Amino acid sequence: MQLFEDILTWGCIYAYALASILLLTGFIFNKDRMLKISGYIIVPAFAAHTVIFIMRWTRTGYFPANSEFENAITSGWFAIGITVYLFFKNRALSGVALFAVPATLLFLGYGVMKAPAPLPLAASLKSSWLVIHVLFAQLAFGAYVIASGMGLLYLLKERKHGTEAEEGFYGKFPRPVVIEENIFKFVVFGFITEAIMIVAGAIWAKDLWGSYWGWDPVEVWSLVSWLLYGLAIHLKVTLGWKGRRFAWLALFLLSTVIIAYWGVDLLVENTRHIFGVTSMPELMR
Amino acid sequence: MLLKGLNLTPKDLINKINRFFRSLRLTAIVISLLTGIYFLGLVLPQKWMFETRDLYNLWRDSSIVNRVLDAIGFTEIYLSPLTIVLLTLFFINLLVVTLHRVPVMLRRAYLTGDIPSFDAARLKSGRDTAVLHTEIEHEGIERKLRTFFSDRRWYFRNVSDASGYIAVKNRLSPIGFLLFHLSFFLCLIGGLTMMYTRFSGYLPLTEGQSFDGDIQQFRIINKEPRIFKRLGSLNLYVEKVQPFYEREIPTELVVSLQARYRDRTSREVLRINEPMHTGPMSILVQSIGVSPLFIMRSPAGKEIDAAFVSLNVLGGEEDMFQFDTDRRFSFNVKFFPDYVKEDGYETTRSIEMKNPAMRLVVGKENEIIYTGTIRQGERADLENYTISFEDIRYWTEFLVVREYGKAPLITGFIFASIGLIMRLVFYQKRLRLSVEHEKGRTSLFIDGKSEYFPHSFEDERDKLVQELDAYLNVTNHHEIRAADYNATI
Ligand code: HEM
Repeated sequence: MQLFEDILTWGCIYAYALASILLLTGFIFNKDRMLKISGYIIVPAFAAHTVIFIMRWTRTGYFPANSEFENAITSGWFAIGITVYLFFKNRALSGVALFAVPATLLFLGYGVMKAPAPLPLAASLKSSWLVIHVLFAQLAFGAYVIASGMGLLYLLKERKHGTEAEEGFYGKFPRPVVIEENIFKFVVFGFITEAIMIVAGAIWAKDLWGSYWGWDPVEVWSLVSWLLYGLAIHLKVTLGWKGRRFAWLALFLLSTVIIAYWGVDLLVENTRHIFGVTSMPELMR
Repeated sequence: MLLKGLNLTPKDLINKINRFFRSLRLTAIVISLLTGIYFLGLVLPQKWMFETRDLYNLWRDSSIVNRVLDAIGFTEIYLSPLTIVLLTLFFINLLVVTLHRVPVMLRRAYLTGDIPSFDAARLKSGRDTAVLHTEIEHEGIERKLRTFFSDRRWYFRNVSDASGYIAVKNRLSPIGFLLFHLSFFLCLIGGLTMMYTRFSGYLPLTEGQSFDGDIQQFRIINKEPRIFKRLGSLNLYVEKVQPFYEREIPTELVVSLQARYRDRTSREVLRINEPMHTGPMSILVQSIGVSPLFIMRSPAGKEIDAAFVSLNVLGGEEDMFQFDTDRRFSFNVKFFPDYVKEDGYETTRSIEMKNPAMRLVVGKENEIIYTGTIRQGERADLENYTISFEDIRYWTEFLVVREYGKAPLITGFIFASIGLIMRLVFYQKRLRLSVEHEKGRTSLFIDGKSEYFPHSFEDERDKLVQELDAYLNVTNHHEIRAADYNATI
């Protein structure tokens, strides 16, 4: 079982790595064929990814969110899932892959480096609020990654405005206004799911730590990120921000969730959010 | 008067203040500044991070920057004066804007005075206007349109002049704005109530021990309420504490107890993540440890002290204790739940209590008089005295929290979620229709747009128009056929 999972995992990683290279070269050198081939790699890799996700879930019996590796599997699955869905729905939106695939690759690589073997679920993580909390965090994270990817696509396409490439290579991507609307859609989707994630997290915190809100760094950063995405929605809806400005904003705002997930763990010691699992190594020494 | 000198009438002044608080730039600035503050909260050392007050004072006095940070309250940044000012601005801004927009949003939702009048001529010449033709007569078409749209759950009604109509999907969506933005105030009320009424403290109890309301039994009280200071009578009796492990990871902790809060008695089984909530009182299981029963005997073999000593040693740490009766002795303890000796080293096979043993280092008047390990049922000789390790139980530490304000907070959460989904998922889409009859033929002009996503709506609109076309003409054919049929008989 473990061997099969390992093979699939590494297969996925290599496939995403190859696809990332193809996507990057394709975009930089305007090579259509490379993008097409990357599509042939991403779809089966996603199928393997789905198998890993399901295997993990059935084997451990709980939603895979118990270690960095499981977080990577789950959020990557959402990000790639949305990318593949967009790809089939509207081929022109495949440019999102340029962002989603390398992001997932990095995330998976990081997870594998940590601890890929499944661990028993620690008591503190046994809660149905946790499942909601994590599920919505993954959805929000996935949506924001896609929004940033679309921001990048918008900027690339916009940059070629009035050149030959706009018609040629970039011709197959949707009109900038459509990409822009899609950025906003994913921002909105992420914003709603992040709100639900924060609420579910607060309710969970009351049962686990005794208070809805504890100004924990991870909590604070999630709030900051949510407020900033809220600000972005205001800028668009009420102050009419659009075009390059809005695309840059979407791209930039992804940093806030990255900080919430990785940055805080690395920068600050005082967090009660530990995404990996701690056992009791002291005792066993 | 002063105001005159500034060339301002009181009314002007009120308008100015009003405009200041109504501005969305203020929102952007305040949110950005709050973000900045929260960021600083992560990088600046905060008071609560220091173990003791003295350590904090030492840190504060070590540099001028630290002293400034302390003076402006940035070492308790979430409650610093600047933060409070910003939050106040935020809520005033929010309240003013939201109230100001109540009529606007209601008008949008109830379509009163909010539909720019449109005449058929203007609609006809529009760039994105779709045109449909049908043979249905004037009276029939309105009925048909009404059925078509209500089947699809679009609100439909006629506007000003008789030939214009409007169809709206998700008409009430703008109310979501009010729900969402006002929900912040419910959360604020809930949050403030909690802040002022919160009592929280850590209460360690060993199996078989009870708590009868004596506040001295708390190990730490970390928050005392400013109002509603009386907690209400609380009694607890711990029956059993049972941890479960799987591959050295604590997978469950089950605590059975009897509880009595304000005349309500109950038996409870608490777990991590499954606390007891009764009214404003919550009791959570936080951590566990072991309480070995040590009995100290005099040289004559007489029992001088016996106690379950709650130790913090389960994670492999060392702890120490003393007996009240004879303070000359001090005991330093390390615990092995499943003791083995491997290659001369003492260790534990697992975290489960299969073969408990205590490693003791006993001091007497600054001298070490004993070092060794005793298992349950064994004893150690301390000069003429002995200490024996007779029994072992678990203790657990409860977090006892009493706070009010849950109802507004949770209502706020619910309103916020409903409001957001109403506003951003089910946003308004509107179609304008105009009917024109000419020489026995009816023409229908349709255009429309949606909030937020006008371009994506184009496809949906085109599809709807196609469906409408089919609907009008199919039913039309049926009618004609029915008419032909009637004519023939
Ligand atoms: C001082 C604070 C705030 C003010 C003055 C304010 C004001 C507004 C206004 C005027 C709109 C446009 C409504 C419309 O015409 O449709 C709006 C929309 C919106 N606001 Fe706020 N807002 C504030 C705080 C927030 C916060 C903290 C969030 C969440 C982080 C938020 C999220 C939204 C969203 C998602 C929308 C778009 C949906 C809608 O139109 O209702 N707002 N806000």
